[in-house]
Amino acid sequence: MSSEADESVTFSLTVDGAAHEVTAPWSESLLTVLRERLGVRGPKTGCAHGRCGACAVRVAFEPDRADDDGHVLCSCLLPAATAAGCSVRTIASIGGPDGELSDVQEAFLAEGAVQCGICTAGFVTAATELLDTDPDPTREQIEAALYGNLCRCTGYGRIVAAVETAARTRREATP
Amino acid sequence: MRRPDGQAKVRGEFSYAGDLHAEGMLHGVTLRSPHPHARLLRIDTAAARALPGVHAVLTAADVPGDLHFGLTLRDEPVLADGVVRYAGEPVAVVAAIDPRTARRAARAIVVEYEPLPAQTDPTLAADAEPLHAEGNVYRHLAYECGDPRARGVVTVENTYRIGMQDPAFLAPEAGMATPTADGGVRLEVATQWLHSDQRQIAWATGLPPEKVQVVLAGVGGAFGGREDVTLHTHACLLALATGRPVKMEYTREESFLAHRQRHPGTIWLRHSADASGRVVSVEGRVVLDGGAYASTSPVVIANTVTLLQGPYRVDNGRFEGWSVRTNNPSCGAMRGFGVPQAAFAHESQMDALAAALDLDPLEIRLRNALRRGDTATFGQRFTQPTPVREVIEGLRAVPLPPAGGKLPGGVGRASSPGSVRRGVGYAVTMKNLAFSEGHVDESTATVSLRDGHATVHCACAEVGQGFVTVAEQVARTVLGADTVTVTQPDTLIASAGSTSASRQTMASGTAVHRACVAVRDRLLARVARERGLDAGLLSIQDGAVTCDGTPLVDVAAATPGHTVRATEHFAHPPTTALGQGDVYVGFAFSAQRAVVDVDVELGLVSVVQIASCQDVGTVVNPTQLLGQIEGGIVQGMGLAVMEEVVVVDGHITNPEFQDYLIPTIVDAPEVVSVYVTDPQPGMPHGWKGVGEPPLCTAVPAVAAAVRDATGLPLPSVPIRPEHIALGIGTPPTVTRTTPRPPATTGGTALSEEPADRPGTWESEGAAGH
Amino acid sequence: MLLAAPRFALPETVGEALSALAERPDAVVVAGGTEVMPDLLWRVRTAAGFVSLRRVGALRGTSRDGDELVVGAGTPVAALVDAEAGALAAAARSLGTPLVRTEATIGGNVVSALPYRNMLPALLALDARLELTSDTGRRTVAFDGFTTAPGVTRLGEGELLTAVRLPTRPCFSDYVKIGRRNAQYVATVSAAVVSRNGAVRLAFGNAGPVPLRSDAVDVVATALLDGRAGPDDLRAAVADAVDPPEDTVASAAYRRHALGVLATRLVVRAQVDAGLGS
Ligand SMILES: Cc1cc2nc3c(=O)[nH]c(=O)nc-3n(C[C@H](O)[C@H](O)[C@H](O)COP(=O)(O)OP(=O)(O)OC[C@H]3O[C@@H](n4cnc5c(N)ncnc54)[C@H](O)[C@@H]3O)c2cc1C
Ligand code: FES
Ligand code: FES
Repeated sequence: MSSEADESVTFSLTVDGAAHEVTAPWSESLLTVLRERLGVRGPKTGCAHGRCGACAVRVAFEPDRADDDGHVLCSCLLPAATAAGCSVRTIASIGGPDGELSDVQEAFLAEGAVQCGICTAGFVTAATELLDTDPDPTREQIEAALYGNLCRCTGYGRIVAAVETAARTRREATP
Repeated sequence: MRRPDGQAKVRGEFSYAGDLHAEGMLHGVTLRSPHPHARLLRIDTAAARALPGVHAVLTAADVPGDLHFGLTLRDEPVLADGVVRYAGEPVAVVAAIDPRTARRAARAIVVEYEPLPAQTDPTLAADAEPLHAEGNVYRHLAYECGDPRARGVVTVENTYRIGMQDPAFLAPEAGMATPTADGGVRLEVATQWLHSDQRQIAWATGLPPEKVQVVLAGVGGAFGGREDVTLHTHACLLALATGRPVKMEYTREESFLAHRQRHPGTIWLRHSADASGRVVSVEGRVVLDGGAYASTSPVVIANTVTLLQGPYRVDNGRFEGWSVRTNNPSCGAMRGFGVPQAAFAHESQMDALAAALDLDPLEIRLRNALRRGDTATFGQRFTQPTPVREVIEGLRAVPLPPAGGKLPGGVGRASSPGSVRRGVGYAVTMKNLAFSEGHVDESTATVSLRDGHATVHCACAEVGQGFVTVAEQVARTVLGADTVTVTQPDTLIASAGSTSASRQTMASGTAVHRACVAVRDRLLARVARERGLDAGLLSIQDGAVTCDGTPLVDVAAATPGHTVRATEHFAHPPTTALGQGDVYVGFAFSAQRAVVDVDVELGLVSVVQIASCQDVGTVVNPTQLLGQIEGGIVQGMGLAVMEEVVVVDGHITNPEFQDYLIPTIVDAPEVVSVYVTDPQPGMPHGWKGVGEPPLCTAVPAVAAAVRDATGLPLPSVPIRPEHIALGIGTPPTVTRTTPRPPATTGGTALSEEPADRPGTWESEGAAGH
Repeated sequence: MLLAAPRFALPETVGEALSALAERPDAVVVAGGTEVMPDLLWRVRTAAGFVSLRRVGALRGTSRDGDELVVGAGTPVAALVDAEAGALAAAARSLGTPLVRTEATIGGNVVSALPYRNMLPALLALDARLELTSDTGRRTVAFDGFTTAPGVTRLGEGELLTAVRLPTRPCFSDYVKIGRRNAQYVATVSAAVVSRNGAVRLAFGNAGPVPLRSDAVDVVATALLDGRAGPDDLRAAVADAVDPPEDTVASAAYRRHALGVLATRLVVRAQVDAGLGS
């Protein structure tokens, strides 16, 4: 039998700006590391197999490169150690420190896109990336960007409305 | 008004049951049976116990109290007792220092099974070898009204099948139990019904109920699937055995295995109508597969059978149903509670009748629409608003969507506009609201007000539906409170019943309203006393106490430092057993029109739009209401075209989100929602439950639209691509019958004995001529 | 090497990856992990460690080599959604979800070798070649025949798939798939077409244990393209050639039928592209 030490990997990880040294089993997912080892519980476990998007986070694999703003992925699918030395941003990096809401968060609240809310962090994370790359998406583009996120409560109508509202707010704010 | 919990939710800071943790907490896991039916020959936990880091391994022998629990019959063991009756049944539970160790320990438990034949066909259950001392029939019911043999000029009959749907709430089951100083246990858990959990945990732990405290933890969706106890008791037993907090959290796969699904069913229906389309008689038989343990199967079957008539006047009929035990997964509550099954069947029949008589589908529904004052087949009079015609007319006024939209098949791009046919389908349904058949439907709330800050305490479980919004809204309007706290529900206050049956705005909303009114009256009385005014002239408006319309003082400053508190209870008028009067508290009606595009050659469907007109009493919060309608509709269309727990020889083949498909944002239709508002008597502001009707109606509406596009009978849901592409499914039998007026009228008579084995009555060809 | 532990390695070059693998013979190669991680969760695969290709820069991205497009095996599917070859782009665009595509790699898809995976029929129709690298050097093999059974390939022990090579000669190509909902689904069946200089080459997914094509089908498809055969002829040829699975998702009969429909529709699209069709 192998020793515990053989089974684990130690690496560094920056999460929402804070540096961490993580020791975890070699196959442990980034989601488990965030939630169970670092106590970062914004990303949620809906399925642990990539289908629901509740665990979505934004990862920059080359954080030193100015143009690597990272991309959104399912943290349940990423073996955590493959992100060694990388920067992870969760829902906690969206919105301000004192309860301030981002335009996307504000719109989700205003449009009633939140019911039980277990999917919300994932949707907000994915929708934020969408609007960062395309501030004026069509309904079709919104759907194309968000079909990796499942919601069982809302039926999605209010979520589409929220993303449209956030896009409008963002366009009006940046002349 | 916005959701009070919304800020924390959009920031990812809201704490759900899965986020629970405590210093020194252990992790619990469950060992489940791999067999749908087997005798337990031996369980050896020694190796598991010996593993470092393992604190407890429990089997049935370690349950200190009563081994059995259940929402109706107490027929389900907390941990398997000598025999397992479904694949996934808990056999042992383990608590260890971390989940990995706990899982390793569970694998180290040696269980010797002697597999027994799995009885998985519900139609054979009644006659089969009993799987349990309680027998294989959870409930059989049968009744007649008028003359079931009455006939009109045309009679249609068919057999309809409904698949097993999973509630698929997005946050799997989770909870944490902590031993308390008094020798009891405190459980924080995602649930729908704290007091029911408390009672069942008390049975198993042998503790008096007051030593079992249940507190609501953040719930990530429920839809009926959290009405039954799953990990609750296990976590408590482990906490009591180890003296440490124990957290349990299911994987998605376990979630499928552990919680109750919607009953799959087979429904045979025969409708006879006169030349104008008026229904002369309806006969129906239902078999629901309840799976291994009772859960709410005895109650669900009554809903399905009694609501087979739909929102139509039916004077003559006979109805019979069974919910039975098999070695399939246990079924229980899911949003709609037996009615989506009935709705799919009766609406399919209405369309078949319309086709046989060459009538417009809405016209035939209008001609049969129930009215206030009519009597249901089960004897209850519709004494409350019964706006069936109104919802149909309201729906008719919604314009059809233009051609175009999302193509069937979506991202796979197999369809092109040329390969698509559009279909339009309608459905109208009736859903009972609140508990039924004598089950007490009540709630209690305590409200206190101090310096303009209101605190609401109620055991109503917020599962996402928005009770917290309603509670806050009521406290603000009635009390003029500046700020409102809705405290975390627990069992320190009396039961609020389950968050199900579309009932919480009515029951707990009313209890909160009453408590707020009582607090307001006490506050005003005090102000009147202190100022020597006539209390009758005082009221609260816009946050101020006013006298005869003139502001006196802000509510926040009216009685500085003084707390005014009141506890109020609400109960609906009692209901009765079937056949003895009012079986149900009330009803809601809903009409929908689905527009679909179908690629007939490949069997692919795109649901373009669903228009809904629903009877909602009053509009409490428009955004929240729309959210309930849209969410319900999308779950219903899921059942209509994609969602099915596939069970082969007692095993779920798709206990995950790869092959159990729920609608994505691409699948979701545009929803147009209009309302009929006819205030519900006896409710503050005429509130009425809204959560279930959208789902019940969407199932038949989408199916009807796909039939319209394809011309196929499609008697089963979910409709599979191959049903369309290969034309699978038997069409209704249409018989031109000799009219026969009813020989007797009125009255509902229960029959004790089954008229026959589950199946159909004699064929119309033999009986009708 | 960015990180080396007894059961985990994070190499930066192909060479490092190969030696990391040699030192950990029971470790599994993991690229995006979108296949491996669910397999571990469901315990359908065992592994005694990971050699991650995630940080091997040389495996990511596309380049031209003569008349071939070279796609690094570690290229994320998201980077291929606008690929020039229509079939590749369409297969990429409909793979999984936007979140999955950022991690899922083309190499992982090819090596998964499951007949319903998106890339397989596309690569078969496009007549792709695979570049395989091991300690002993590099070899290039045809994709056709690489998969020998569901989940099984001709990849050698300790060998890595380093690139997928696609001919760049102009052609019309497309890929379609069907399932039981309209996004985020495993293909019930799928099909890809390449039409070049009047000749049609079709390939099918989940039409048998391995990605499938047949000369007999292509002869009829080519005849359909220029009007010498009818749609029914092609459907009959496809029905003859395929041997689809029967499972709880769909019957073999439906799959056979649908494969014929997809084939016909793809040829019609090729016709339209060539200005031949309706
Ligand atoms: C939610 C979800 C949806 C999905 N939907 C689809 C879909 O629609 N269509 C589809 O086709 N697939 C789908 N997949 C499967 C998967 O995403 C793809 O097959 C993906 O391309 C695999 O790539 P990967 O890099 O993640 O593979 P990994 O999981 O990293 O590896 C897969 C296999 O390939 C091996 N491997 C990987 N790279 C190499 C290499 N360079 N050399 C040698 N061996 C290698 C690994 O050892 C492993 O056996 C889905 C997966 C998920 C989780
Ligand atoms: S938890 Fe990661 S996608 Fe569901
Ligand atoms: S709000 Fe409950 S899953 Fe989306």
